[in-house]
Amino acid sequence: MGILLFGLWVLLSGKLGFEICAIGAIVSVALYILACRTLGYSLSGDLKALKRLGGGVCYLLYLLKEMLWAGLVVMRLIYTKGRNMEPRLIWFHTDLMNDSARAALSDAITLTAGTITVSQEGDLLCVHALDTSLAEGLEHSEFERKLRKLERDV
Amino acid sequence: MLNNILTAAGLIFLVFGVFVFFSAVLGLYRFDYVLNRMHAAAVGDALGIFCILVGVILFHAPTLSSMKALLILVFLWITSPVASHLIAQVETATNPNLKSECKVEKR
Amino acid sequence: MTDLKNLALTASAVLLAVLILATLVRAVIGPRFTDRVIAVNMINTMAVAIIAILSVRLKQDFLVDVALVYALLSFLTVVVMTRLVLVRHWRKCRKTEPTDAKKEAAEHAE
Repeated sequence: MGILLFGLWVLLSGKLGFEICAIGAIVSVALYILACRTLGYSLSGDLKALKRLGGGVCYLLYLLKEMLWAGLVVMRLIYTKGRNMEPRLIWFHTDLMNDSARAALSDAITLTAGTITVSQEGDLLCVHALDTSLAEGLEHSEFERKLRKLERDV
Repeated sequence: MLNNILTAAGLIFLVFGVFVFFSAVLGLYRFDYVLNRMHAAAVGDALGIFCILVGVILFHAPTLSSMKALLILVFLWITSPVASHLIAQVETATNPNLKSECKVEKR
Repeated sequence: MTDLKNLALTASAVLLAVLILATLVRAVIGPRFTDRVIAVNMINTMAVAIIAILSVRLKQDFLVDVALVYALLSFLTVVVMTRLVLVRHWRKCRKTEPTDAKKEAAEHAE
């Protein structure tokens, strides 16, 4: 987290130099301490998150691939189907336990074009799908499997 | 030489991105309900901005501003699902004839 | 190569501007409020793309920062507008049918 803040500082300052690095290090350490105090971050939690980095990167790459593919599918639907869509509003249960994992699942569903999470209460998700073919593999998707694996590693 | 290859790849991405935006706007006109139109906008948000910003990143490749363009990309990908979720929530809360526009299913 | 690149950059910026005009027409004729919000969101996305393209075309690196801030502001616009409409809708519901509004509020609370 502190390293990320330092990277952001260097990126936004626009050029590399000793002065910028020194000031950036001081500011990012101060911000990190502030975040530990008020927002509930901690060094041990960050180390735990670092252990899941490999799985997280794998998940993000899969999300990227899936997102681009879904975009192409929806583009094809725009050209071929036009007005005669069969939109669905689907309520379904997810068996993810963690709140952050559920939020990540609904984020992934919304980010892939063609399906949008409308609301979420507990483990009940309401998803709007553009077409029935896109609504097929919605529950027990690959996202859910990968997220469950990440969740178990905690 | 390397510069030329990067420029050519960037041009391909750029042209494809403009095409994606064109089809997103076309979808905005061709679909007939609000929730359907939102999917067309989501295509532009996800795929179109990805293609154009990858083109821009390849154009000024070795400098720090390409990293800044990557930052824009990450930021837009974090915020666009939140925005479309909020719009969908407003639509389902305020639309009186939602049932006629799409089938509701429970699983 | 640079001529071709400049030509392609200018052409794509102009095309995106035309698409923004088309989306603006959609925002004007959109029958519902949410249509307009979607169109405005789309216009903001395309404006970010145009600013990023211009930063290459005019060789001005600070335009990338401008695009970053524009993306921040566009997200804020959508959040504020939708929040406003939702709060007003809930208040209206509560005035007319208190039980129904409570149920709906519980449904949408996160």
